[in-house]
Order: sequence, then C-alpha cells, then structure tokens
Amino acid sequence: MISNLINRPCQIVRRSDGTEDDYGNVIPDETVVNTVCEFQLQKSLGEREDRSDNNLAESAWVVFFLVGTEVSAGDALIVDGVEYEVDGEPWVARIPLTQTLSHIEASVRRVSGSEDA
Amino acid sequence: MIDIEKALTVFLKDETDVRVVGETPASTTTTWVKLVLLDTDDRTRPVDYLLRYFVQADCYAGSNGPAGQGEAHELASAVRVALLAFAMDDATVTDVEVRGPRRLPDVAFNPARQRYILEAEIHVHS
Repeated sequence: MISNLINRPCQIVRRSDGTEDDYGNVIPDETVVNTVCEFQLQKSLGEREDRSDNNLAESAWVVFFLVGTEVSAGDALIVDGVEYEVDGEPWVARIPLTQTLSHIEASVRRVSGSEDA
Repeated sequence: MIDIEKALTVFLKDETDVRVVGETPASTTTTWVKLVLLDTDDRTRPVDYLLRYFVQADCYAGSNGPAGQGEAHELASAVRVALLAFAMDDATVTDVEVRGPRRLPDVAFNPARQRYILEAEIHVHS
C-alpha cells in the first residue's frame, strides 16, 4: 500500500490569517505540524540556477502525503531542516479500481541563495 | 575613468555598515544592497572631465514574504541618506540626485522578497 511508502518525517508549516502590520500586510500566524511524507525531485523542472544570477538556485519537488493530511497552497514544508513553499493547490489522488482515496499530492518549490540551508 | 560602482560600494559600506554587492549574494538570509551602474554620460566631450553616472541600488529584505517590507524600507532609507552624502577622495562629486525609493518585490524568490529600488544620478569631475 502506498501509505507504507509515505514514511519520511517532515513538518508542515500551516499558515492562517494573522495580524496586520504597519503596511496593511496581514502577516500570517504559523503552526508547525509534524507528519510524514515522501518527496521527489520534479523531473520537468528539477533543479536549476537562474542564468542571470548564478547564486540563486531554484528546485521543484513533488510531495506525497497520507490521505487526511491537512495542507494547502499557502503552507510550507520542512524536510531535513530545509523549508519549501507549497506551490499550487494540493490534490487528492483516487484509485478508480477500488474507488478509494490513495494519497495527497502537492508541488513544492524552493528558491534560495547557494549557501542558504 | 572612475569605477563608480567600486567607489560607491566602499563608501556605502563605510557609511551604513550594510552588505553591498554587485550580484545576488550566496546567502540571502540577511539584508543586502545590489549596486548596478546603468549608464554613464560624458558631459564635456571630447574631454573626459565631467561624467554623469546613473546607478541603481536594490535594497533587499533578509527574508521572503511581506514581513520583510519594514526591513527593506529601513535599508533603503539608510542608503538614500548615504547616497546624498556621497564623496570621493580622488575626484569631486558635484551633485547627487536620488530618485526613489520605489517598492518592487522581487518575484524570483518564493514568496516574493521585498525590495526597494533607488536610482541616483551622480555628477563627478576629475
């Protein structure tokens, strides 16, 4: 079962409406939730460096969560101490044969300096 | 010809104690100012005596997202004050006109990194 394969410890940084700062920006409240996932480098984007800016590295990953995991587009994911932004809405995969839910899938992205953790 | 980016980098570092770079640094977890020479105008052709330099200073927050706006603005304010006081040892700065700051978040980062941009027109004669 796919749930046996989703076993990598990680944290989801859940963001919700927070407080407004002096500029009218709503700075979200953050809650860190421990969970498990599995994630793989996204083949189409993979990793790359901005050609005009050699110190900025961008990577895109696909993440798999167990059914029922609460995660949304505004959240972040921490795996092995490295933070990634959820990119787009996560979606629930369904197995047509058994008519059951399989897992939750999401894309995450990270843009960082080459020395940043 | 004067290397205005070099002169400004040294000056800004001395005056403001900020991180001044020519390209995005390898570590983006603290604020920085990226200095770029946009153009140079020779005002006394054909004699290379009075030059007008157009420089852009991008002032970045030290973290992504809207929370960095205050930090980036504070940096831009300090840089603006320093630019207006720009002076050199081996040439004479006759005028500095600063435009900005204007806020233009850098969407190369995710979430966008708050950034304020200043432009300076610097008149220098040797």
